[in-house]
Amino acid sequence: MDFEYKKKSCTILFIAMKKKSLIVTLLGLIAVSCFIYISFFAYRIRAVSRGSYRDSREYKYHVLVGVTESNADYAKEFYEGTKYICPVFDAAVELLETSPEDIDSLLDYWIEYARFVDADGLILYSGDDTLSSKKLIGLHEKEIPVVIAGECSTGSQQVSHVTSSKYELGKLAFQEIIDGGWKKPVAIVRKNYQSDQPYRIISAIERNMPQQKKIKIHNLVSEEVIDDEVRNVLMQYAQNDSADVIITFTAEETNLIAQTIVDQNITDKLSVIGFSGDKKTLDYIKKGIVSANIYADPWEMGAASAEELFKWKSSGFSNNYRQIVPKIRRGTK
Amino acid sequence: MKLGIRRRLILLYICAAVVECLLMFTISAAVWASANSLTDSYSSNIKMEDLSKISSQVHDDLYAYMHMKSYDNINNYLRDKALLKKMIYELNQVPSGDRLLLSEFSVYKFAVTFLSYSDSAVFLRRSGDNVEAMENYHNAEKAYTYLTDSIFRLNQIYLFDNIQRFKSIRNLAGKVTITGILIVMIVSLIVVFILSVFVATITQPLTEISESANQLAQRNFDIPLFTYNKKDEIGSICRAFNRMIISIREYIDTIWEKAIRENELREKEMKMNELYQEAKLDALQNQINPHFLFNTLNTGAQLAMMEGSDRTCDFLEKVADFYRYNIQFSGNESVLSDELNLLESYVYIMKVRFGERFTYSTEILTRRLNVSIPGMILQPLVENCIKYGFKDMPKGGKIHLKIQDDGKNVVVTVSDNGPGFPEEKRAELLKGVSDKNSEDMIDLQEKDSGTGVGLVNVIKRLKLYYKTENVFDIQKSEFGGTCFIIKLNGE
Repeated sequence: MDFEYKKKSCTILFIAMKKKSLIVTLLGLIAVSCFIYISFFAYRIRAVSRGSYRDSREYKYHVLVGVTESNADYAKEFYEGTKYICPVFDAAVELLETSPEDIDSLLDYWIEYARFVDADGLILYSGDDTLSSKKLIGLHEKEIPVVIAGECSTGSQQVSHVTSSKYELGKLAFQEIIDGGWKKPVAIVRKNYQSDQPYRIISAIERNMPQQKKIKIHNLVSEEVIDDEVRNVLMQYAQNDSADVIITFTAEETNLIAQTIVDQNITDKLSVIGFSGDKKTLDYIKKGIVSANIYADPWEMGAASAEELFKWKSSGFSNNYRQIVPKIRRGTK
Repeated sequence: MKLGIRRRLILLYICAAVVECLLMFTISAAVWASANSLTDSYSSNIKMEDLSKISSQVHDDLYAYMHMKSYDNINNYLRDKALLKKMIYELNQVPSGDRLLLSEFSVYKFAVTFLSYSDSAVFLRRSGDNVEAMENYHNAEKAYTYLTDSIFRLNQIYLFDNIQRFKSIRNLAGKVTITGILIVMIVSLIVVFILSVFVATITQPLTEISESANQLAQRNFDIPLFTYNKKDEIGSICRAFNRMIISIREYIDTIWEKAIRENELREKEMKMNELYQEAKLDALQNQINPHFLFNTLNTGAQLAMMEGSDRTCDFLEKVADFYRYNIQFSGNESVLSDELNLLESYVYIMKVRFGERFTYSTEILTRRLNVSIPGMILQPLVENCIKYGFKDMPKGGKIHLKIQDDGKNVVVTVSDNGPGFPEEKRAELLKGVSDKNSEDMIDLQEKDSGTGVGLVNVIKRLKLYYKTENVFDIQKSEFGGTCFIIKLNGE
């Protein structure tokens, strides 16, 4: 070993000896830190293995939520609304499966599910106005309250119906048309649309319009929304200059029409006013392709549904028909 | 209480071993927890599988009993139902905010519903109400369907959850392994470093002792003392070493002093030897010459006798006696009577030389003439009287020798009627003989050559011989001259 190096090492060791207590304390702290670090790992592993990170809060009530809406974002928002409010009433929320797809079978499945699981309430969101619930009796003859949000048939038996007024929706749409200065609105409706909701909204818009300004309704031939057909329809309106704004009634249709307008480069000729919407719709709104998106806030509907359910559970009464004020999102063109 | 080196080293080793063991134990515990968690990860799925099986068995037992009322079927049903109940009571039984626990709760509720309808169906079947029994059986069937669906879903949730957990644990276990290795290395380095520091602390004094020993071996005694004062073995060695160094230093100092003293003595001895050799030579020369002189003088005396010159014969004999005595007793011990004889010879010679220039008288008032006295003491005094006392007196000089006993000493007084001894010179002479060393004495003797031949020598020899200062004095004589007083201690 080199003598200088040895001397240097000895010097370091000597200094260390002089500052012995300080160094020993420091090194002791490092060693203790190592122990704590390892112990922390061990604790983390134990925590992970036991799943102690879970929310283990216990509740008194068990509420089921079923959503038939195909708009996943909308459904999620609705569920989040119920999930936010239910713990206030000491209730846990369970989101039900959406299969089978047939609405009647699905409803039966949910009702049976609620009955056999002996749930404390069932909240359903439906965009189908044919949905019809019946009074739900669970085990031991206990009535399970059902709240329906969105659309349902007039004969449906629920403790409360939470929805937005079509008149209010139409009124908002009308105002948008007026404010946008559009004179040739065209409403596109699928042929096989399961509810008369679009027509009711169109009616509400027209009710506010002067007689000479009727909305032109274009029924799509295909049962599904097909790109080619939509493209052809839009190109026709654009070329003929027979429409300046397209009114749509679902998020899926709104998005498809907005994308087609972009693809066909006719953004200067056609705008879109859509009902309902999702994240994709928000992008089109930001880009100004969709000039207005009118919707009933699903989160608010979920929260209101839960409130109505527990109003009934606590007092035996609830608001049979609760309205949610619709909202509007505007794009900047 | 201070620990010994051996115990300290053992304690140090034990501490290091304990730290390492604790670390290994902690890491092992962490790895063990990881391994255990990995093993347990899928136990929930196994539990769901068991639950599914036992539900199916209960369902089959119910079906069997509903189709055939038999003891075995009801027994099987009751047994499996008890098992199912036991299993479902292990599930979560209250609504929960957690998805998995809520699913467990749903399974529990479906199972309870299934068992409720099953029990009703069995009870009604046993009581013979087949219609109601079948209705309950159908409800039990539906409930069973929901139960199996919910078990399946829960199993899926568990599986997903376990996969996530497995991934997390695997990641953590990997981190634990890597971190563990790093920490073991770091802590080992720390332990080694601390051990090195401690061992160096313990052995540092030994190194210093070794270096000091080497320095001592190279005869370098100017090394600093050890400051290590701990009450351990090294402390004892250090203290012993310090004592040894101090002893060596003291011993060296002593040797040095002794050497200086011996050197001085040696130098003195050499000087003395030199002087002695010179004196010896002188003595030999003096011995040779007087023998020749004695023989010559004796031959002269015989010649004078043969020629009938009695006075010359007596003179030569006195001269020969004088020098014989002079050689014989010069520096040696004599007695007062012999000194008186010598003095008679000397005075005779001087009388022949100076004639009637002085008179010599004696007054002996004691019989103690056998007292010891250094040789050649009285003659220089008389010589001094003749040479200096009567220097300026052509005739009429008077020398009186008086010997008396004062009860203690024999007092010899030599008086003359010369000009007297100057007081300054007297004081200087007496003081100089007392204070000054031999070299100064020589100077004084040379300086004093005008005062009296060998006077200093006489005083010095008297003082050395009698070991007292009051042996000699110079006073004014009753004749107006000088009076030399010698107090001879007869003891």
